[in-house]
Amino acid sequence: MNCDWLKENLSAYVDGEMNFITRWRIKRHLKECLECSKELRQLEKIHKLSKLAILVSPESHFYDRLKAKLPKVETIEHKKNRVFENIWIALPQGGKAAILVGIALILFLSVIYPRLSSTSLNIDRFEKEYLLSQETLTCVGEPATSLILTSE
Amino acid sequence: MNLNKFWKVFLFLIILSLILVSSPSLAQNGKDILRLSFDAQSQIDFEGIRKIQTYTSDKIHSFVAKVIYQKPNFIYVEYLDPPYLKGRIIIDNGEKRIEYLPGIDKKIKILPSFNCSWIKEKRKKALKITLANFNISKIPEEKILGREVYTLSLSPKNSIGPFLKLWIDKKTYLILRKEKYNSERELILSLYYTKVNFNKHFSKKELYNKLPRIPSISKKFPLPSSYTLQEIKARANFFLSFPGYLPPGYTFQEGEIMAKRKIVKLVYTNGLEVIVLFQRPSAKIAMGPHKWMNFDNLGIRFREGPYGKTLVWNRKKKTFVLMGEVPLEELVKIAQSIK
Amino acid sequence: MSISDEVLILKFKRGDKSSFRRLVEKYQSKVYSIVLAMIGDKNDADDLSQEIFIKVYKGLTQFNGRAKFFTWLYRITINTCINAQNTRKRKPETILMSYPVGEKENPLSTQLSQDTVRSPMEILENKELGMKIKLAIDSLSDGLREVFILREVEDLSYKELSKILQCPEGTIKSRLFRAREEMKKKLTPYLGE
Repeated sequence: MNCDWLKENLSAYVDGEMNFITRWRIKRHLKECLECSKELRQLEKIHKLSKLAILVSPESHFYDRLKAKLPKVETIEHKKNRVFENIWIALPQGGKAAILVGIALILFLSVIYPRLSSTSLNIDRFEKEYLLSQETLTCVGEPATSLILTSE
Repeated sequence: MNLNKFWKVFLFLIILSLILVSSPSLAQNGKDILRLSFDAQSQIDFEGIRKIQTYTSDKIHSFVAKVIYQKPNFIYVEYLDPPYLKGRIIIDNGEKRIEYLPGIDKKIKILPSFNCSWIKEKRKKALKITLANFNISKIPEEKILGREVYTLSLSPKNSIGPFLKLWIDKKTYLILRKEKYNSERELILSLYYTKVNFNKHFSKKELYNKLPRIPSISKKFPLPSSYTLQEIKARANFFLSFPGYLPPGYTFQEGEIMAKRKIVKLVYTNGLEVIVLFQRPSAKIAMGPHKWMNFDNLGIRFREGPYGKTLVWNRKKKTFVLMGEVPLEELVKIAQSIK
Repeated sequence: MSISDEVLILKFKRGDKSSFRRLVEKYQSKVYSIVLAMIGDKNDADDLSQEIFIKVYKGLTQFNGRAKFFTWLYRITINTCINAQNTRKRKPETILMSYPVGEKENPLSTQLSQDTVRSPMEILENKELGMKIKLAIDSLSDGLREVFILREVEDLSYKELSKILQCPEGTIKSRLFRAREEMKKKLTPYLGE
């Protein structure tokens, strides 16, 4: 590996666009060559500083300003949401608590409780079955694709 | 007509027809080539290194395997890469298929052979469906690994993919290369050999010696029972749900009852791909990393693997798993249509 | 749990307009940074960024597929910037105004001051350095500037860059190399060693 070739390819090296072996060879060269490793440090510095210089945040309330310019659909959607928001704000504390307890109860009964008693399975088993079908029930299936999944 | 001239024309026609018959590239159309490639691998002596790469929206998976075919009907596949698959072996002797997964599964698993008559029958049906669903055309021929090949392009007659490109060896009809594209014409799978050796014969015994023990040939294995739509409805011991929507080109292929009659598997195909729907009474399914989607009160867990997408959800005291290699929107549409 | 772009878009197509807000919030800084670095004027950059997201909003229902959302978004961003540059002449005097070096909102100055700055002399040097970097980026020729900016903002791979800018990966590689050479020439006195 010579320095001229490396200098032309150092930029791609900094970007991680080299294969494993080339990376390894470049690393080995950099350990020995002061000139090239200086070059590398400079490139890395440019990378770091440019990133800092370019990345900025837009002015505040970017989305709110954008929303005003979007086609009408969204404002209607938003108003709909507001209706529920207003009802919620208007509710007394007791009412809010009752609704929350109710939701929690419904959640527990419909989602958590049935799961407590039901069987537990692993998705791998289904995926293996799917791959078996893919390889044996299609006309150009490849034997042995299903081997990539089996873990138990 | 001058008699001499007549004989000249006659002779010319004879020669022309002889050329047409003797040159397969002129005589065969895409459909015939695909048909011939269908069980080419069970009729050759071959060794090759096969690489498969699949492309998902955020990853490239690549698998390397050593593949050996011996006529008739013998298949040996050994994974070489990635490291977590290294050493996994399939030996398929035409009667049964032996799976060996060192480190994970000390036992040897035995399944029906890829080439057994009833699986072959199903694959033949899939071939028919493929021929009906896809336009098959020959495109300019190329050479692969120095061998003459036919190049076929399969494009769907409806809007749902995949598009397929096949490079098929002219002498043996083995598929030497395959590329699969989705409906947006983006590459999602590529298969190719980096080394091939035709006419190489192996001692099967040596290959069996790679297994920790040679399974006895007489050992019985449970045959999975596949059913038609009517049969599966009658046999399942819980109420089954069926999709009201299927992507164009897909039809019901078979149903299966698994796991002590607790899981029902329905398979749909367009010939080249399958969509599989599993259902069972409510169960918890561990899934690993996944995304969460919510559509019209239907909460769906979703993940994408190297060979397709998986959706899992619960509805009406049942758990559903839906898998396929079609756009996510299509899978969601199927999920929503299941009543 | 962060929801992927894919899911947000699917939900948007099905009428959930709030997912658009999440998309905007996810990408607004990056889009704005690219536009500002390309155009140079703060007010224009804000208007253009908004214009880009309006285009995205209008086009999202037609957006289809496995092509990554950000590839599409950044292509719109770059095209919009290039169109804007073609239609209005750039005003060099506003470039310096656009980055009030030393003010809090400039991440360069805050970062540098937290990291390294010790004395007023050094503050002065860093201010100068920040400005030099921006001028150097700004003076990159047009083909080089966009690929350099995109790479620095998002650390995109050459493959992704080639999809966005619709040119071969080899071109991306050589443009980035040339851009960095130009940058190096202009910044040598500030890079130390």
